[in-house]
Amino acid sequence: MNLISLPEISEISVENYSLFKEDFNYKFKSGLNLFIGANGLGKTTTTSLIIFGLIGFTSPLDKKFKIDTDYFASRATVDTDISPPSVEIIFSVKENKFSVKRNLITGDIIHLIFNGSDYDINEYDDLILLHTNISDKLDIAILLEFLLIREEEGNYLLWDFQQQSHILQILITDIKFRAKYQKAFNEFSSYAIENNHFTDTNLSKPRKKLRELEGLKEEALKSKKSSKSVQDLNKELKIKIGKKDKLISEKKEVIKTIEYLISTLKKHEGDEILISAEQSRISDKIGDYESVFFSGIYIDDRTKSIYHKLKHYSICMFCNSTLNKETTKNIINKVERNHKCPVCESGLKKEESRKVDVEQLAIEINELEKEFNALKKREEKILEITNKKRIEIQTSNLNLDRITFELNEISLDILEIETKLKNLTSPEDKLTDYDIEIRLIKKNILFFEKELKNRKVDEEKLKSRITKLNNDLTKQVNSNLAEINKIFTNLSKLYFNESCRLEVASKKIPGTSQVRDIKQAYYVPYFDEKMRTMEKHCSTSQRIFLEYLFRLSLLKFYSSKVKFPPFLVLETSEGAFDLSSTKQLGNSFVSFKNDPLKLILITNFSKPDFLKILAKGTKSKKSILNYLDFCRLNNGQLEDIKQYTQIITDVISTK
Amino acid sequence: MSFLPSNIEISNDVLYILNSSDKKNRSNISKLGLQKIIYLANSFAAVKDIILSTIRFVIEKRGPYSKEIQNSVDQLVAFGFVDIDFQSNSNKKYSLANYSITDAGRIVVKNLLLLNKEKEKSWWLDLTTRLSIIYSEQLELDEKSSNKGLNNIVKLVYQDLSFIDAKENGYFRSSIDLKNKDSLSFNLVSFTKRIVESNEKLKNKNEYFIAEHVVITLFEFLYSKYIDSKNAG
Repeated sequence: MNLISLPEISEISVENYSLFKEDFNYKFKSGLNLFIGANGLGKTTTTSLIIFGLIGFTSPLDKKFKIDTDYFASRATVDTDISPPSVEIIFSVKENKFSVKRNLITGDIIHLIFNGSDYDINEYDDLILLHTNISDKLDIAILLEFLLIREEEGNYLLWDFQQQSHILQILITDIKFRAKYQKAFNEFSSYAIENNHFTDTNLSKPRKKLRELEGLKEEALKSKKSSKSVQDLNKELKIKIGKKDKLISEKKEVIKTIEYLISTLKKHEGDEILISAEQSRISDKIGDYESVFFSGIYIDDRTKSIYHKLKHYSICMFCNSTLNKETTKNIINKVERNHKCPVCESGLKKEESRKVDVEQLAIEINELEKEFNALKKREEKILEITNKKRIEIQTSNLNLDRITFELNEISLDILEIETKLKNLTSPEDKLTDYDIEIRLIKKNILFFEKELKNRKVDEEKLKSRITKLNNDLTKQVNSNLAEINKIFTNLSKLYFNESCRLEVASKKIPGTSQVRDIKQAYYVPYFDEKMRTMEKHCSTSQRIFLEYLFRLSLLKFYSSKVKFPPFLVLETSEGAFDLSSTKQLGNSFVSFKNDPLKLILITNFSKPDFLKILAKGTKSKKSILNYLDFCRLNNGQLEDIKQYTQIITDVISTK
Repeated sequence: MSFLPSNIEISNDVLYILNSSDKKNRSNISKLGLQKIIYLANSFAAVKDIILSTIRFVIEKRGPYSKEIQNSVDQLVAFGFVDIDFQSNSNKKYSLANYSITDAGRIVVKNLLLLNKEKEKSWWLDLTTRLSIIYSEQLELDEKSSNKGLNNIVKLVYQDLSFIDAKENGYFRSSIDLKNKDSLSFNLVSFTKRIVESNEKLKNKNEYFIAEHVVITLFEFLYSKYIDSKNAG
């Protein structure tokens, strides 16, 4: 794995800067370098001078940086008559030596010396990027501001997971990784933002507009067909249909009644027919009997006696003459054998000679008559019933006619209402002024939805790319954990807490919804069986201590991987420390006495014992920079000058 | 050997009337009287729903007349059931025929009455005959009467509503419809029947008794009308 090359600072020279009493120059030594100064003398400005010297004003690169274009001008009066105030930094990146001098007011490079030769000042940025293998000047600024140089109230890399991740991306991954990662991330987030914008402009807004238009259309339709009348018609229709149903069931009932009446009537009519048949049979019989009866009655006995006179006494029935037997016999034969009239010789009816028993016949006729009358009475009764039934049927039929008529009427009404309703809701009535616009918008939405779908596919591609890179980063962070922890726990065991170690945590990147589900890995401290994922999980001293240990560990880990160790500037904040932890802190720094890493500590006079401990870590007097030598003191400080001098003397005397 | 009349029903009616008259010792019934009694019997038949054979009466010079009746009477005479007796009138311009029943006729009637139906008819014609005789005798007492005996019944027949109606609205020899239930006679009968039947005294009496009262009332009605018309001029 190829890592970036961090610059290693060698010397700083400040000229003509009125903040300071006189120009000053310091050559950095390997191991511990101690800068001692009272408050307000320019200690913090020194850190800014280093950053500025290396890359110029940082604020234009990113607003989160504090070194803006009048940073130095605002801290001192600038005399335009003399040479401009400047800072010159001599540093090396790998084997290459840089010397860069900048105007503190304009930020311009005054001269650039690269590997012993003067260089075009405009090539500085390219040179430094080329040799450090860092892809962006901003990244250099981030490394300087957030990792290599820490002011007294500086940032906490441990708990600012985005900063830390950024630093990790630059520092502990392959040289091209940060560039790739940044590019993929930017592409993805900008594309996602673009898509959001696209959705918003082409879809959300038109959809909102469509909803509005559809609302307007509905309103228009409502007022057009006056929904009240539709409602009324529907109500009316419902009532009519209810009535119709009632009439239909009524009709069914009436038909049922009629059918029942007809069936009973038919039965009675059948009886009627039977009776009248019987009557006519009896009547015929009576007729037959009567004709026999009457013919029996209207027989004149005298005619019999006349015939008797002839037959038995041979005396003529007309003239009373006595006839011979032969003549008599002939006449009798004519009548009895040949059934012929003795006078005109016409045929006689045979039965006429039969003796009729009129009395018996009369009895039979009377009986038949009685029977006939009884039948007549029955017939009358049945007639009465059938007439009643017929009247009932007639009434029911009239009722049926009425119901049928009403049904027809109501059916016509229903048809009319339905036609009205149909007309009210016919397609022509659904047309409004908004239709064309709605159709167009719908068409556009459809088009853009399709487009968005394609865009989403691209976005997903980008997302998978950044996800893959992020996974690589996470892998890297995880695989480096053991090594970094080895350094971290060693330092921690000796000077902070036996159980302290680093753990890998991950957090979602705040921002647009599209990047929100990408989690970035970073290191968090863990001690006393608690993961300290937030600053507030630790006390101030713990926090500061852990931050120092983390930066030191990170840089030691980095140093172990490269030939050229970098530098670290810490403006100590031991004010919050109690005695024992101050000592521990001091000792932890002292352990860097022979480290290839150049550790620059900037302190004040508040804890002389701490200074004494630190002084042990310095290799010589030359490793100590005394601000009192070149800074302007205010009145209060001038009063304490003796004390300061004494402390310095004491510190130096330990050497 | 048989002598069956061509119209037995009318023959029966004739025999009943003659028999009734015979019993009343009024041995003779004139040709005219016979016609008018049968006419009245038919006209009032609705009183007891008596079903008489339909006889076609036409308006003749002397009231309603039926040829069928005369034919039947002639047959009965020929067969020996009815005797005929000619009587010359007072002017001797024409003779009047009077009829009476023979023994053979009496036997026929006796046998006919074996039938209940015939009994009723006989009762009806007997009733009409008796009342006709009574009213004829009453009418004969009329000073101006040129008729003798039953011929006077014609005065009552002239008062019959159906006859009057037919006479006024019809023509000579137009027929009188006695079976028409809408006729004035029919309505009169129904009305009279209702009035008589509503009489408390006649309650629980048998139907023949009531019917006789109705017929008497009807005769009385005709008689009253006759008196009225006579008085009117």
